[in-house]
Amino acid sequence: MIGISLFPAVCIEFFGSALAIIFSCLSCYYAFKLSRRDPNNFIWGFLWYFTIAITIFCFSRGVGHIVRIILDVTGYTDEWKILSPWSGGLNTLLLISVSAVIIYYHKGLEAYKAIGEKASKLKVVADELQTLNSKLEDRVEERTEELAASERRFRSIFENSKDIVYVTDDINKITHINASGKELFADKVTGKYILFPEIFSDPKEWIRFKEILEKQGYVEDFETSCMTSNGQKSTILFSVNAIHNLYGEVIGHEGIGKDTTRLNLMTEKLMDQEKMASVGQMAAGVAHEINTPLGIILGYSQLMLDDEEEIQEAAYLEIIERQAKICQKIVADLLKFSRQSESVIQFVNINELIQDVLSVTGHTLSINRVEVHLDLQEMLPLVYADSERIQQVFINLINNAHFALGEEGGEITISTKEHSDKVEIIVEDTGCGIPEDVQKKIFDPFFTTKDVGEGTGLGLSVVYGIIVEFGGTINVVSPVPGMKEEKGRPGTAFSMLLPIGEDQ
Amino acid sequence: MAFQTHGSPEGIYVHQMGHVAFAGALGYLFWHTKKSQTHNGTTWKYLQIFCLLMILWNVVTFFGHWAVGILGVEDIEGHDSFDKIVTFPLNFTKIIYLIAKADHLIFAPALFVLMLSLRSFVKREKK
Repeated sequence: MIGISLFPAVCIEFFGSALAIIFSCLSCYYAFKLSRRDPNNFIWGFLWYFTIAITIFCFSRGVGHIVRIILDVTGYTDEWKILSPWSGGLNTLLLISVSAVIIYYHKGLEAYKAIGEKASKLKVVADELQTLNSKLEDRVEERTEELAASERRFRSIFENSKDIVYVTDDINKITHINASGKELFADKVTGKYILFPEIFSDPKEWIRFKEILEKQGYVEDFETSCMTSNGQKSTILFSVNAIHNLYGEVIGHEGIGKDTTRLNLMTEKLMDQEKMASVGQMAAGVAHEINTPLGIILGYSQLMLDDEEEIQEAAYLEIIERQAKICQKIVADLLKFSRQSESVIQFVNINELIQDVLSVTGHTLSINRVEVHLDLQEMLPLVYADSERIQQVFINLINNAHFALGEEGGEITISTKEHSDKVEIIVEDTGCGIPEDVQKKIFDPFFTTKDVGEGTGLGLSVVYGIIVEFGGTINVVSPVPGMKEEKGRPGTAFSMLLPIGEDQ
Repeated sequence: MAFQTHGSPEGIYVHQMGHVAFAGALGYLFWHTKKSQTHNGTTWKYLQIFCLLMILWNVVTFFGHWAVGILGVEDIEGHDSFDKIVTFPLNFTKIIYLIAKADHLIFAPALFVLMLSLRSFVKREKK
């Protein structure tokens, strides 16, 4: 041998080129799969382009080698010399291309990483935002439910309160008022609102109210008379607070008003009862002390009258006797009022007692053109009381009614009916009525509107004392509603309630 | 002349520069994947081996081209590829030529390793 044969090297070159093509193709296939799996992944993209370049290079180089060997072996060496520069040039081009792809890998990867990092940060922020948003939604929902519950609770208090609850604006228009307030001041509604000052009966009271509110910023326990929708005056106790804006300016007020009319009336009645009880005790004491000397005066005057023969003296003694008897009657009335005389308490039929009284007084009444109407409920329950005292009540009330009718006469209506666990008796006349300021005093002992000598002022006091003694109540109404229009005079009605006797 | 002419040695120079550039690029890829914290595992090891083998291949072929340029007609005799011989006595250039002639012993395994690397990537991604 004069040298080393290149046959093995050519074989390696031939098969090696073929294997290189196969391996590069497989690499290209796997890279393609990767890039398809995740098209946004830069590394897969790079490997995909890299393997394409390598595969083309392997094809160019491998095919070149194989063709060269085949042409050389088959005697076409000259043809290869023509192809060789093209093959070599293409190989050089692909070598540089692969190099370029690799070089650009660095910058591309950096950009990819930067984008990835920003994307990750954005994702973290987005996740946080989503979490916050989710929590915020839950929180808002929770708060909304709490607010709704609170609103329902306060609305219920506002709407269902029996007291007046209201809010006004800066020009004292009531912008919000609950049902109790609307009911009380329904006629004050102008359009869709109520002007707060208009509910005051006395405009001066409003000015006073306003001054206190402006000065103090609140008004506490301000009791005033207000005109209500039924045309009557009611006493309202206001407690209010001024509403201020951010600059401290008053932009309205909010408050609660309590209707104390009934409370005041009851308090007044209680005070009256206390007063009457005191007067009764005093009267009883006085009557008891006077009764004895009065009896002695009357006894001695009668003895002297029996012995006196002189006409003039006898006349004087008769005057003394008469006046002493008047005094005795007064004392007796006082004792009746103060319940000092003895009673016989039993079940009594009020209707029968009324009939008995009318059988005695009816004649006098008819002479004086007084018509008596009876409206008595049948089967009226019995009342546990002293019949004589109850008769006294009717006598006094009928006498009073008779007096009120005057010379013109008129009508007296007596009615009875069962009212819950009480018997109601109403004695109504078509007389001149009782002025409002007088009504408060009519049950006071010795109060009378009659002329001197015509009345003792004890009639209604006795009535009051007897009714209260048997657990009842008495009220006076004057004028009687509708009476003036019908009969021409206001009239008066005494209404009494006596408890039904037990064990019936 | 407004343009530069390109003589016969220019082709081989450009080709050799291509090998240098390719080797340099592969060296960079090897270095980058090696230092990167995220490029760990067998898949990347395969890619790194590919880079090393291809760098070696570029070196071999670079010197192979160089040797071809030096060897004369008397150094290689024969009519076609199969009966050609490298004549004795052997010298450094001839040995280089012989080694470079068998460059596919590096080139084909390098591509095989590249294929393994990509197949590993695919398998890993499937998991």
